[in-house]
Amino acid sequence: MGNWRLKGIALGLAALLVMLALSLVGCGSGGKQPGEGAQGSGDSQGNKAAVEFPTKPVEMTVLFGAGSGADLLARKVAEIAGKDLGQPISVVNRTGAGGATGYTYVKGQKADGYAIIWNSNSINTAYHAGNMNFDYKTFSGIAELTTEPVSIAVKADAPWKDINEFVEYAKKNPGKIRIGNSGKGSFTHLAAVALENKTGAKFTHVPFGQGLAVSSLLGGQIEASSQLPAEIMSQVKAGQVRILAVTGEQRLKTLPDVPTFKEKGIDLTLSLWRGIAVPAGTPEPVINKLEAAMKKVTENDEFKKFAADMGANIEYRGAKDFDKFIAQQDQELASLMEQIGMKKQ
Amino acid sequence: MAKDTLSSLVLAGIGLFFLIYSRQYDWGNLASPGEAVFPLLLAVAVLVMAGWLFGHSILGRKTAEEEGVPTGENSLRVLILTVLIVGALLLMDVLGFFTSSFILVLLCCRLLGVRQWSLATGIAAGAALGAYLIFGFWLKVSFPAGLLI
Amino acid sequence: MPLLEGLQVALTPFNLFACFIGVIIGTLTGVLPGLGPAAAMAMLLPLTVKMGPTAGLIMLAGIYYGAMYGGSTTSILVNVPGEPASVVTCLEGYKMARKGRAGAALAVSAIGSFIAGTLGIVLIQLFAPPLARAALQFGPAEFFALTIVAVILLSNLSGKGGLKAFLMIAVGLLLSTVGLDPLGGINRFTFNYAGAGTGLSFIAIAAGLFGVGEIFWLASRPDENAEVMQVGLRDLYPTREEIKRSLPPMLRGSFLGFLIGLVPGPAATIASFASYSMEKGLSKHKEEFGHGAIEGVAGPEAANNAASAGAMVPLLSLGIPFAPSIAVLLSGMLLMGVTPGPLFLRDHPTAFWGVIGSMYIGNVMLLVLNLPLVGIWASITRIPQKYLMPVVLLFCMVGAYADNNNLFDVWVMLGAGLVGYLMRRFDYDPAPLLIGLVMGPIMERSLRQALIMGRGDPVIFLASPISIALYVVALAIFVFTLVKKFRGKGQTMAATGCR
Repeated sequence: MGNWRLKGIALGLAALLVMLALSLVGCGSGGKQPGEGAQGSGDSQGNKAAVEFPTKPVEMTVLFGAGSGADLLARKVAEIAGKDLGQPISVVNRTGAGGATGYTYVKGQKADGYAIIWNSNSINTAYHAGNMNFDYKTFSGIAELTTEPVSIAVKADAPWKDINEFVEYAKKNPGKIRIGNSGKGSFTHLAAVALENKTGAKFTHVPFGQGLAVSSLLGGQIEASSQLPAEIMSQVKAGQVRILAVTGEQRLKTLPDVPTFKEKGIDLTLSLWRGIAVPAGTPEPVINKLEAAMKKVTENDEFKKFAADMGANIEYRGAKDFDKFIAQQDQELASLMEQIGMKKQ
Repeated sequence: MAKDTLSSLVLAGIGLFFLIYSRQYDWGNLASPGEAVFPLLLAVAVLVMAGWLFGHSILGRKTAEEEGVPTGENSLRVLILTVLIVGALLLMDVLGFFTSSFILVLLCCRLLGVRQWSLATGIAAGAALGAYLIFGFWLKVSFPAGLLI
Repeated sequence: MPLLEGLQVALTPFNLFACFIGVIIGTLTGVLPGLGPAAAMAMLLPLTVKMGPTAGLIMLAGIYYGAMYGGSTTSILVNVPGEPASVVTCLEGYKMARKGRAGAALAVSAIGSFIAGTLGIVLIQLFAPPLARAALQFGPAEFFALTIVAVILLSNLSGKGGLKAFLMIAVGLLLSTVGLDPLGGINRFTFNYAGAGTGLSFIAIAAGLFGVGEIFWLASRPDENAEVMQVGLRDLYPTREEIKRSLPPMLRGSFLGFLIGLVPGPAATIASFASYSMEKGLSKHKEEFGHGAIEGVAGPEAANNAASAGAMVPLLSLGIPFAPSIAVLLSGMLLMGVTPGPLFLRDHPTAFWGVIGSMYIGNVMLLVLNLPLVGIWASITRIPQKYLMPVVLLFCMVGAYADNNNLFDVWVMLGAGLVGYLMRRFDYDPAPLLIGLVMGPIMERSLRQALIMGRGDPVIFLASPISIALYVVALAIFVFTLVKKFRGKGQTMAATGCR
């Protein structure tokens, strides 16, 4: 019984193994060619490819889940830029390890401009937290598109009228104010630590996930929250929560009454930037083409409105400036992470 | 060996693995517990319970259910199926998701007793094509692509 | 009365159409494993924004609650949960299908979903603001107490001995710690492999333990056992007796699910487990559990729908999302210029009541849509398993992959499949392991948050009356089960002996 079948399976298995062996050999030799091409092709080949770029759909990796703030902005960028490039940009969520999973994936793709990534400060934090063994230099910036400040908010009936009173209280009562952030070592956590540094105040930092910091604030379990404005916008509009200040360079368009820290005499500016990057080694002309498309996105009225509704400011930086900016941010965030004992490399 | 004896040893092994691995993480303190605390506590809990189960299965009264590990059923086919799936997963980066899953479904059909190659091929082709149309083409899920699809 | 106006708004052709498309897409995302409502809603968000707030929100909400209908289909037919909240339906639903009662299980889950969905909207309408305020009283310390109750209550799920169930829950909790620390920061137990940074995907493990485990089990059987199901047309729908037995579980599941829905986290999944365990405790047909008890389909399916309605309460009355799919709904509102929370009703009464009205209509549509499908789906069980199972294997693989576009998840699924097969051979129940996997992140997060917020003083765990009450409940359940176990020890031994 079943003998005929086992024979068939054995045959099939053998065939599978042979194919595997063959394909590994094939892969070994086939895999080299594109690698050599990318390094040694020089400009002539790169130029030729770039003129025709893009000839097939582009894939944009997003490091956070479908429906997250990062994801929605990315999808809008993909929609608008895709029309301009003449090829659709498909958004693929590759979440996990604070961004490291997605970065590792894109790093392993061909540097031909077809695999792009929706980059953010996670490139700095994921590296320094020790979740990946490569840093921002692995990627070339295309363009920075938006920034989001961090907002320090308290419950509507809290006794502090403005940020200075709040900071004064935190100085006099070290550790008494519990401030919710969106995760240990996250950008909102680092922003609160930076506030401590600049003012000498002392908080108890409580890491939360999405949404929960806000409900704990409303429920009175914590005294303040450090969140991206989008997370807390509807409670602000409903009058349940007050934002004392935002860390941006300028005020937010959607919250024109909320001052920046700078205006209040506290020298704190930190913003979560978002933009597009590609694996390092992508031909210059391809980068230029993508860069131009991204510039057009930031000038698009529909995108401007969308970004404002999401609590983001539009801040364009071209490829060269963007790389310099990331390098500078990397140092700043590294020292903040060192302070909270999270800098592993 | 009785079923519970063997399985409790395996579970204790899992507990031990997490116990040793989590030692490299931070304990923190009571006011700021680190990332090692939760897994470490659980690993200890698993070890204790697995030990309990082990002791119970060795010392406890033998009831009818505690016969030896069942063997003899067609374990060979389970092994072959595992190898088939592993092979398909390894082939995915080379042949692409759908081609290798076509081969997998084809061989799996044969393994489970579909006698005719033609029928098995039909099922495999239909399944792979259907999955491609729904997930790859329509939903635009980005699957590993190889030489084919 | 505003609801009537809402129904009028929802009944305008365009809104009706939006609702229809929404629930169809919702059902599809439920059926297809790996594609969750959050992803589907995010994909369609640009389109819905252009449709305007009323129609747009009607469509998004349709996808959201429609997803709970489809999920049970694959659980029942091929033992593969279409989404996390349908895992528990595998336990009894698949067994029913193997007995030729797939039609009954499918029909009961559609009816249960309808009843719970409708009841859920009624509850939203009547009690949303006070319930939301009550939910705010829960901080990390209270959540931790809640997870303790849940673990103790749900360990009752399996009939295979308390120690083994607790052991499996503990292993599940342990496995949940793989990947990124839930408080953020670093990766654990990944051997520095980036693909594992996502952690062990729940849907991959569930599909592995149930679906792939079943395939391995089938492969290990001699061929003589491969029976062909004879399902007549009359067997496609539930009998009067089955309906009668299902109604009380549906109602209980609805209320339980709605309450659990108010809690942050994967509420629908936990609600379905909780309902299953409750029905098992209350049922007059305890001996049928594990062999295809209809109560075990009706209760959980009602509970996960009610939980998805309950999860809308914090969004509608506070503007806070407690689950990823609700977060997409919130983003959608912001993009449409609608502020979720208390201002929603004040500033956009048409949209608010339109959406509420459309949810009633959408639930009716889903019922009408799903009942005729029962026949078609149920006939799948007539296909001999040797033809069906290879296709199911592919289905599981695609689902595990598509959930996060990560091949590592497919490896996890294969591993879980083997483990599922071995667990069956060694008399372990996979369900408690999945409970551990779901509860792990919530438990760890709330434990550590509570300690941080108490500044290191463990008294915070007993600081509120809610926590104390929850611990008392947990203790009571624990003592009760122990007493019951010692009393009926002889019987349980005999029962496990003739598995």
